Amino acid sequence: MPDLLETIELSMTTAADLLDPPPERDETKDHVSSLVNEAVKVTGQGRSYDSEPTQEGWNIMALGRIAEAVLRPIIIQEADKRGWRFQAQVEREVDGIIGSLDGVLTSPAGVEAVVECKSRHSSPGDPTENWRYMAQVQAYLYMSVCTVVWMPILYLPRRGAPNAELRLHIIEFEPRELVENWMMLRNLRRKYGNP
Amino acid sequence: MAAISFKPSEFSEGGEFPRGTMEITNARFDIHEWKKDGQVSEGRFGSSSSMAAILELTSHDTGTVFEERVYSVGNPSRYTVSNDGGVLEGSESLSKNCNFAKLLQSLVDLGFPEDKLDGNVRSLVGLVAHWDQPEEGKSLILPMQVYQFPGDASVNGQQASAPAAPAAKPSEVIELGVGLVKEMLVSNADGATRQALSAQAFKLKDQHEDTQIALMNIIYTDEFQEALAGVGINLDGERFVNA
Repeated sequence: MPDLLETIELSMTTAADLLDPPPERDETKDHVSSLVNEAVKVTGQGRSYDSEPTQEGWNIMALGRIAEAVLRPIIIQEADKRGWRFQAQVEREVDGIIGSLDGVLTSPAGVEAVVECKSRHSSPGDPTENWRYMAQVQAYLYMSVCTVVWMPILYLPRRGAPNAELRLHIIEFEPRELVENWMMLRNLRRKYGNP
Repeated sequence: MAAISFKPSEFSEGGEFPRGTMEITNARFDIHEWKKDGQVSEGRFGSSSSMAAILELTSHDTGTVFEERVYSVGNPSRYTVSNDGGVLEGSESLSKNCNFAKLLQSLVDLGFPEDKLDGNVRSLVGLVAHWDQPEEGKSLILPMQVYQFPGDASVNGQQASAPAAPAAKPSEVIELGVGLVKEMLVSNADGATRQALSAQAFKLKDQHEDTQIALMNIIYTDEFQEALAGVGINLDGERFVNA
């Protein structure tokens, strides 16, 4: 009979930091993720979060960062098929708002697509139905003057047989949609952003 | 042959060769003398020297210019080189087993039209590719994936995307924005808004991405409004109007 000698709770955040050290975040500036969260609160389009995440929130965010790091090689492979290059962790600043992009795909002509990795505790679905995701990626696209996003999502269904599935969703927007979304974030910043 | 030492104090430095995304920034034919540990050694053709294509590779990401890479052609007594180093002259065709032939074959395999190989090694300048070892343990590096052929020849039968223009200077971005607003006022004065100008930035496919992003960044600035006022255009709410 085995003896369980000890169980040590390890930090998911530390695990993510060790795998993929996060870039520094300038808290004096407004970030897309914070403004999108305010947008979710104002519009009621999904669940919003308070300023300080719960422990579960930190864990989920860490899992998201781990998934992002793990998915990079397959994004590089998919980009290679098109003769594009993947540049990971790109920071943009437009109108004083900071966007921390998971990456961009480039060709000699410039940015071909923005990459935003996600992990979801659900069965595979249509990410365009997720208002928060769309507001976030539209902001990153506006900041990159690009209309196509590659959204690889690691799906970890909570119901049914245990499974893990990976989908690459490629979504295109109209410039008009991106401009309208940006206007919303700019307006929210005036009300809720850093002074 | 002496056994390789396992003692860290006797390890050599270097030995790394370039790999990754690199551009051929210079190319010439020349006689290369093979050396090992600073001493002349025998090369592949039973001679201490070899006619070779010598390429300068520059990292596209960091701008690092690497030590020249040597792609051997054959015994130097069989070839001469044009005065500018670009053309190899002689009575024998290239052996498909030499490293330079392997380089050319890899380019053709990756979609470079054979008829574009004009016999001048300088024509390879401008090629941007991902370079790596095709065979583990050998120092030969070849293009694994081509991002841009010299002269923008097609990649795998598809026309390569035209490289974007270089990024504009800040003053040029303002000028670009003012020009776009003028055009909007002529073509559709009612729809000439700051939002419409943002949308215009997406259509500037011939501009460098940094220029497009810089344009996004000036649209709401006082500096841009002042530049517009200087050419008789004011802002009425979100609309641009002629003063």
